[in-house]
Amino acid sequence: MKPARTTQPALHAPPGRYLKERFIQGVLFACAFLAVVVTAVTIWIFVSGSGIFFTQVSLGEFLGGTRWAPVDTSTPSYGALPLIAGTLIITGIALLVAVPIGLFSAIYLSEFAPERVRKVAKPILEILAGIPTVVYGYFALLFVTPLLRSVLPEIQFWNALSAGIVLGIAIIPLVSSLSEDIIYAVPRELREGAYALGATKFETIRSVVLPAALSGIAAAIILAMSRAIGETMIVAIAAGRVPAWPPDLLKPLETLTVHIVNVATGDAEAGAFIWATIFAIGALLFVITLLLNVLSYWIVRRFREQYE
Amino acid sequence: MGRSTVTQPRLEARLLQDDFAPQGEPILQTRALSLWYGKQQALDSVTLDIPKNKITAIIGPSGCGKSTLIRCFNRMNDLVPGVRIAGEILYHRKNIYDPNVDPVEVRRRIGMVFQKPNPFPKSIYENVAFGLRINGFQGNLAEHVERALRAAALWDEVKDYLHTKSGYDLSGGQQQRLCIARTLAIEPEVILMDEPCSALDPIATAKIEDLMLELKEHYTVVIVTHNMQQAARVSDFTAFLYLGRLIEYGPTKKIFENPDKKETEDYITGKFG
Amino acid sequence: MSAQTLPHERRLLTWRKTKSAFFGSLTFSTILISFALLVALIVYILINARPLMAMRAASRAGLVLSTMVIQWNAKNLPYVIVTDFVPESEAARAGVSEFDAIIHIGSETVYRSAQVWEAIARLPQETLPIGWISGDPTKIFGDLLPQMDPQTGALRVAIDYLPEESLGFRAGLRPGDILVQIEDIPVTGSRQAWEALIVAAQKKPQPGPLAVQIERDGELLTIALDAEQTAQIPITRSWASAIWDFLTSFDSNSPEKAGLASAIVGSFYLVGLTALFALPIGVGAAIYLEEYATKNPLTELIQLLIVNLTGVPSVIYGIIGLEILARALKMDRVLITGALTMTLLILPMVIIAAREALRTIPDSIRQAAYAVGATRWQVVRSHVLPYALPGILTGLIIALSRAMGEAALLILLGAFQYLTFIPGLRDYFTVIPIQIFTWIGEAKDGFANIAAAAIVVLLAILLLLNGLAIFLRIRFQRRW
Repeated sequence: MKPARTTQPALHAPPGRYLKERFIQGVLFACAFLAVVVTAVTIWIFVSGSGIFFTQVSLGEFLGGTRWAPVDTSTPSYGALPLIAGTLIITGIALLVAVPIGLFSAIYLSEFAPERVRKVAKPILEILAGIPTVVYGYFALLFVTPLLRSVLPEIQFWNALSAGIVLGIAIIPLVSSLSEDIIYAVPRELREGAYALGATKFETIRSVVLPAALSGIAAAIILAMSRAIGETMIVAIAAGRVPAWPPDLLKPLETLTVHIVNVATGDAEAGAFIWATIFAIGALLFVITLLLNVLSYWIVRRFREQYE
Repeated sequence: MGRSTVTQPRLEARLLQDDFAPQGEPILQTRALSLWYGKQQALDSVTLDIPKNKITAIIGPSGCGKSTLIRCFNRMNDLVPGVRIAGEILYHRKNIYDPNVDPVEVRRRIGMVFQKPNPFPKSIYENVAFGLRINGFQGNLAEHVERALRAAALWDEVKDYLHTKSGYDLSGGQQQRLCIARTLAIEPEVILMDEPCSALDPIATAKIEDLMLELKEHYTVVIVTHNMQQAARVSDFTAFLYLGRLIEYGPTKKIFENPDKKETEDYITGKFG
Repeated sequence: MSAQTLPHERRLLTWRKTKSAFFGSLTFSTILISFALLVALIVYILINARPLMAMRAASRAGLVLSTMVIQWNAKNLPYVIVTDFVPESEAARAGVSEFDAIIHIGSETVYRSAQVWEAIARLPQETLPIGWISGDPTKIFGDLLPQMDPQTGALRVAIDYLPEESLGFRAGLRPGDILVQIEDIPVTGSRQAWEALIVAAQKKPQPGPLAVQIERDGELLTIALDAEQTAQIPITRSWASAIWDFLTSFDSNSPEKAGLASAIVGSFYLVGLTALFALPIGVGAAIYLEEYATKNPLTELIQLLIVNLTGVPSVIYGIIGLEILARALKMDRVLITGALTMTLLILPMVIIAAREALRTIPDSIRQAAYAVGATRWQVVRSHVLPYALPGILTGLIIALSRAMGEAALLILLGAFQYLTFIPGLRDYFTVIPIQIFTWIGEAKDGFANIAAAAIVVLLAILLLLNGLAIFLRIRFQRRW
């Protein structure tokens, strides 16, 4: 076959093509830029919404007050400490459950499990992360609490303990999955170095693998913590909706997220001041979780730069 | 790279040109072509003319910049982030790196076959037809696809399952000929081949080499190869590149039998490479 | 140093090896714990969902039940009543009507509606032998009139009017009789007379006459009153129709009638719309970042934000959706607002998954397309995108299953609704997780069971979605 062209070629683009390509690129860029817009809008909403709140309540009262009673019409009080403490308690219990189980599972999967077991066990573990949180809430309220009552008879129908434990179960995969990736990524030469000195598997893991993976594991735990702080449904269902000070493991309490749900499901009118509280609370939640996420992201990136 | 070096290579280029200018009309001409990947220089002031309807081989040890050079001819290097190019490439005496030149148009006229066969995971027919469709081909598509496949000496082997077999179902050599057919279908003037046989067995290689000699009649072929026998067998002219510089360029026979430069001789005789 | 191992070295080595093995089994046991928890959760849900079949069977037979309480002797005594009269039902045909109290199933006394359902589940045959006391006291005692005891001043109840077809008349009661006690339960008022009947009947092992002590003309008499009626009510027990009923009926105040219809439609609407919004935007963003973007601070920022937006709690998105879409843009808290907000939630996940899918397409394919003169968009549209699509869809489905289970965000957007219709785009709506949440909050017997049944439905849908994702991954997986 012969090439058809013999004349001097025109090498510039046909009219319209450049525009079309630029237009498409612009549209695609807009999709990606949406992330920036969403973040900016979120920040703007929380800044302006909290602005209304903080014209009435001082920051000191908000972060230092121990009485959270926004619906009390005669003597409203906006001390968020009960909510903050509630959130921390639930998160603490959850981490106590999730970190050992998740971390040990990760160690098993990456260091001990045969490839076949690993291939099966990992997705099964991930199922735990795929179960909706209302389901966990149900499990906590109707199964775990009665179970705990057989040991701790004074435990109440709504309580922090069972919500925390079940939340812990829900975030096991979060800890295990990321830790497993990180532990798996520790270079083999490091392990071989330890084995060559006659170390047992346990000694190798304890003194070589885990220290090397430490930062990544920390990132996994931080991520799990952020997730626990932001979790809503398990706590709303199983921990009750009563702000408590001082909070008690065996009694109902309220967290930051649950307060937001409470306002939303309550019958307060749109303009009521109580709606301003969800911006202050939401801002607090947003800042905490965003900081934890960025920290975790940053740690993992540094880890990867180190070993990969 | 200091500013003063810019003039120096140009001078050298002119010298080289005086040294050797292939007969016939040049279709592609590089003029003091330099290229950097980030801070690393890959081509250093290369000047050479590619004659029309001939096979020009570019040889040299790995990392010498021969692939980089061939990818400049159809502006494939534009796709690599952080690339910077200085100098000119003239195609029909028009600089293809001119701001108003569209790289897409360049690639329509200067086709390319890659090192590893890279058919699309589509049917054989669609592999060949894709280039025609996007170029707004008007006419009998099926007929044109057949002509391209025949020209690539693949038609007889695939005509029974044009639509049923994917490009990936073919053998390596067939895949590479499919890639050539795909290139031929859009009727370029120049076909760039970047080590087209490096992933193929000797029999498939021989078929491709025969094909190249046939194509020479209507096309200009530029081939990058690390296989010196191949260069000697198929090419009319050979350029020897070393460390990003054009060391020697001339008729293949001369380069292989009586090179001017010591580096060329050392490479040809296998002292390094 | 000798080449031989010394005894204490050998002991140390044994100890070290033991420690290592112990540690290995410890880590293994934690995996088992996770699996055990998963199994426990699923088994518990299934067990709790089991009464659904009996509940639906009872409801279809016309027995819509409620557990009520009689306060007597400072104690709360539960009993079961029929709360709904269903004309044409088997129960109606047997003579059971609204507010009738069910006392016995066969020879078993029932106090709570759950016991009735358990009995139905256990029935050896397809009929339910029930004993009930009419909820209309006039059918038993006629009209009662409270009076003062002329001697003691205590409140007493006398029969004022007694129709001849009443149970009391047939048992021998006559107008003017004063009700003193039923079995050992004193009658202290008109309402209490009926309640005493219930409590007394519950004490009997099976339906039978109750001893009613009356005062007639100053004399105490005991009359045997057959207050409890019995009937065999045909029951059709079938899982298929129970599930069908559950999936196709609307929410209700009675758990045996409440179904998931609005919630299922709401969920699929919501998730479908979310997919419609999230797929183009997510894929667009991913294509930009993978195929177009050059490395610059803005691109870096976008990437950082996308990764970190995945970790923002869903309630935060709920607040954004509520404030911007529902209020500022006056879209109200309707289905489409929910879907748009949900899109924001899953978009980062979709973008990340789509980028990963695009990254699996080798550069040689892109170069091949460029080499025949394709523009960047032609390369993406004709090659990169089609080849990456299965991977992208897999990621999308995983993200959608997150949306399917999400409740917190939608609570803020008003999906916390009692709905008895199929929602449209601009309607208030509810979804399965929210319906579960509402039912968990209901104290009435049976709501916990239908919540469990709804969980089973939700998990089944999620299983299907994930199965689809796995199928896509396996079916269209390509090795380059």
